Amino acid sequence: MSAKVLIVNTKGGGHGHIGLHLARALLEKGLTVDMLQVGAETSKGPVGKYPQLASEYPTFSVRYGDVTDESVGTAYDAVYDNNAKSLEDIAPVIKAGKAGAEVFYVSSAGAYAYDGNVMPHLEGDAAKGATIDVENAIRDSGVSSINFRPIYIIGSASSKREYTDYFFDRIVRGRPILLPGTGSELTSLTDVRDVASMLAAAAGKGMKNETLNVTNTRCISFTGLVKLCEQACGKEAEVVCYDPERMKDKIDGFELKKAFPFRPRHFFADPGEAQRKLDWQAVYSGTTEGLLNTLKLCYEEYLQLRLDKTPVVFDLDDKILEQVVS
Amino acid sequence: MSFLAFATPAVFASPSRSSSASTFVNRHPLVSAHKSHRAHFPTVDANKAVKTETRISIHASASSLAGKRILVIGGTRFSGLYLVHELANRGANVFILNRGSKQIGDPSLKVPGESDDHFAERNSRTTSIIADRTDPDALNTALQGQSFDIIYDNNGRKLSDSAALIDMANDMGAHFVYMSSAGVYLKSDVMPHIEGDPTDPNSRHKGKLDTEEYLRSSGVTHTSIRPTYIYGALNYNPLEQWFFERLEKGTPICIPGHGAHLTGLGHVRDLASAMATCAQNPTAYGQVYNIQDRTAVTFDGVARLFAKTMGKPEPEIIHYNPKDFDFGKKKAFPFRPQHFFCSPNKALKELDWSIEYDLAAGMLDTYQNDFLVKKQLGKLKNDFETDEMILNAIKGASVV
Repeated sequence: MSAKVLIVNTKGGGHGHIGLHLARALLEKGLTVDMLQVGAETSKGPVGKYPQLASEYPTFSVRYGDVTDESVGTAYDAVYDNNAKSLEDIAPVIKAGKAGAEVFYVSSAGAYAYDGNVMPHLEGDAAKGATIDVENAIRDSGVSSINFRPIYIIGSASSKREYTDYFFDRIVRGRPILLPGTGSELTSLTDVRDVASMLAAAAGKGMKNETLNVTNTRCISFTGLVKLCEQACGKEAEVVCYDPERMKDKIDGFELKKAFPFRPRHFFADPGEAQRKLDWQAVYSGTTEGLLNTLKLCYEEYLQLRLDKTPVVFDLDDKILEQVVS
Repeated sequence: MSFLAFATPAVFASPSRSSSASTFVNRHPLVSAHKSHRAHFPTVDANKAVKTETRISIHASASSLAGKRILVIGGTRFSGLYLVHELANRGANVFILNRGSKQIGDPSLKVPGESDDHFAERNSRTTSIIADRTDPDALNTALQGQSFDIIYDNNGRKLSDSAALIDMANDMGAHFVYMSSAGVYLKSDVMPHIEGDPTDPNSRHKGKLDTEEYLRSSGVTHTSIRPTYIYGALNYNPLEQWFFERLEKGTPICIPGHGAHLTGLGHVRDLASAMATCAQNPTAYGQVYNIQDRTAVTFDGVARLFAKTMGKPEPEIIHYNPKDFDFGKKKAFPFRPQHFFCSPNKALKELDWSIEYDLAAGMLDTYQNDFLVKKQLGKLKNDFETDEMILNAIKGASVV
């Protein structure tokens, strides 16, 4: 009988599609995988792909519901928590850990404190926030965990398409791509399959109390990312850089978060520890061609979902452009 | 339960242990556990020049080169000098080939902080071979009948510098370790540079590329090392000095572009240990290794961190567009205005190597053991001509 793994998967957002791809990676290793999917059954996004995965692997089963002691239980050899944002969320998983399960927690590299002088983020850098509180709660309970810290994740069946669609929306509609800052800020995009392969690689390794950046070995400048998206879409675009501080003054209620889906600064992490400890490589997105292939895949799905035809509101873009010209 | 998927089924069966582990991940086993990943910059007494103890490499016993005959070309200057020191520390018999401008035992060949005794001892295992490396006949004569286990070429710039030596290494079955440069990488939007990335046939380091190509085609047992920006005491490239002089003077730091370009620094002692650890290491045969710190620094960050090292307040930084100026032959800034850094993770993974000098330690070394020494001896350049040009243009008045 093969080892039994539980994935507790979040409803949506930037981490939403990790569950699907992690399940596949674990199933391919011959493990039995149960998915506890927070929220309801749906045909959309990554959750919509579970039935297909179940038809391929009889060792895969899905339950929908809340994360409780009952729904998590204590019968698993390993639990991957890709959901917890609070002590309440993680409590059932801690119980499973105390009963002997290996615990893996998908945290966030967004927790790293930003030091404007140096990059990349390294494990051991100062970090704080909800996911760090969860990491600490697991550790403080006496349960060992491997904490994985990702940045921006893209790929098939994404539940948060903004990282790619910000560019696709504007490219297909012939609109300029607005970049806050200089355009040379370096950001990190990782194919979800690379994230899944690292998470899966840790299963059964017997690692204790580790923190690992689960990010691409590469980062890319925003202008570089625009160029790759142009290639993926087969269409060129104009790039306009703007000063977000100035927009705060000039545009009523301006929020950079609404204008641009990425942190407007250098933001990448070094997965070197995972490379050494798990012999892991970013096989899908760790090269320029690889990243381009992932973007092409995302663009194909963009078209399949007919997102090129969906009406998009560009009011904020227009307001920014007004200010840039003036 | 039996577990089909794992080679060590006991893993899942064992109960989790309680742990009071810190939030710091387990680091490479050879790095001291107490040292935090991110450099902490202590407040420094700017007037105190501290002689650091010679740091015997912690790998000295782990990978001894006792009995090995090692030839080093370019072993009397900066990285070569530290390499010779490192190799000797690991027990090797070192042969330095140079034109004779420096004798073994010349005080300028001492590594900062090295004791006289230590220097004398390793000099007893160090031999000088006088020859002009660019003259194949002279090389042949000087090295005739000699055999070496490893040959380090530290100062070859183009293929014609190194070809004869490579052929000799091939004949004698030596391991040829070549000092190349990360400057060979083609500029990219995707960073960091990783071994295998496209190289630039038009770079000013083309000679290094040609040499690397010849290493591969000649069939010699070889390793190629690509450092980014090397720094540390005795650097002949006035990289650190550029910053220290301006910070000392208190003049604004003029930085081309937006100041957020990331650059890769690597301390010379870490470079020396990386190179030494390659010696006759089969893992390293045929391989290229990027060598620098895991951390890259922004241009603004370099200025700020050097200021911290000196115990000075945060400097005023002026950003300018280099295209607006014609500096003639003068270099206005030590770094090229683009992202330029590499990942050392291949070396960290494959070699018995770890980074001992994070930015804090490295910057302190070069400040105390190089800048302060030069300052005391009155040997600073203090050439602020390009700064004046920039400041005049931007501020409209001479401030230097």
